[in-house]
Amino acid sequence: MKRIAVELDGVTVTAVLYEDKAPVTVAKLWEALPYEDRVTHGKWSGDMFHTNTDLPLELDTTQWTFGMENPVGFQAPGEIVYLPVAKEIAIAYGEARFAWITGAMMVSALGKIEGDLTEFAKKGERLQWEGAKRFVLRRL
Amino acid sequence: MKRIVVEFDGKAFDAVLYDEKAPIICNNIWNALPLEGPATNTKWSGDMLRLWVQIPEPEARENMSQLQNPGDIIFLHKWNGLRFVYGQARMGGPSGAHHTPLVGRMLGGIEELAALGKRVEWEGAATIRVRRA
Repeated sequence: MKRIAVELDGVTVTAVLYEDKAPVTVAKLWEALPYEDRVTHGKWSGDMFHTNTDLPLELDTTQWTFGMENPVGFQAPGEIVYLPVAKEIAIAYGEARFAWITGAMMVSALGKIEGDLTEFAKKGERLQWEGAKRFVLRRL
Repeated sequence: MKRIVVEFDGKAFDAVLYDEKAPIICNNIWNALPLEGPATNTKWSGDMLRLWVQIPEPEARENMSQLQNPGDIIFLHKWNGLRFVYGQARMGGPSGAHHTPLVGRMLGGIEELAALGKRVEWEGAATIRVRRA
């Protein structure tokens, strides 16, 4: 079972990747780690933040419904999702649903944070007030 | 229409309140001026800055709008405050789009407001002040 560390502004949590539901995309993400960026709070998706530097994963998106593996229309707190067309990672820290100007969008669910999300969620909420913060994904 | 001034980043821009279309809400806003507080981007509504101030909240739902345009100033019952639209936006929440009172409009400074919105996204909350003209 592949697990990663997710660091946001000095708070680190661990997450399990969905190797069973999204084996190809998770394998590509695993190859791409470590990944570091400055994340900002989303403006359409509720309690969710997103990366800003392209994280290109070489995927044949034509093979999957909705052009992605393990597409989901709803996200639970702690869920880690990837939008292939934007090459971005987003993480829900509370009540959230990935959306853009045209409304809610399907995204590829790649994993979920384990354990207590409280401190991580506080950091996510502060992005709206404090602006961009350092974000790192690492293999465990 | 009552004329107001919206100030941020050391600049001042003229705006109006739609007191003919939303008299009770606009009167409450007018009586609360000057207002000053932190502004953040909204979480569900796109290119829209939320000014975190408190305005005595009326029962009336006046001049309800479903779609917003850059320059619009809107009030939202229950969540209070004022919102300034600077780009692609639609007032919404987890349950979808909200009807919301359209209470005024910026007469200029929309590009500057958009720049402020982008800066707030990256650098954090900024101060907006609203006063009578």
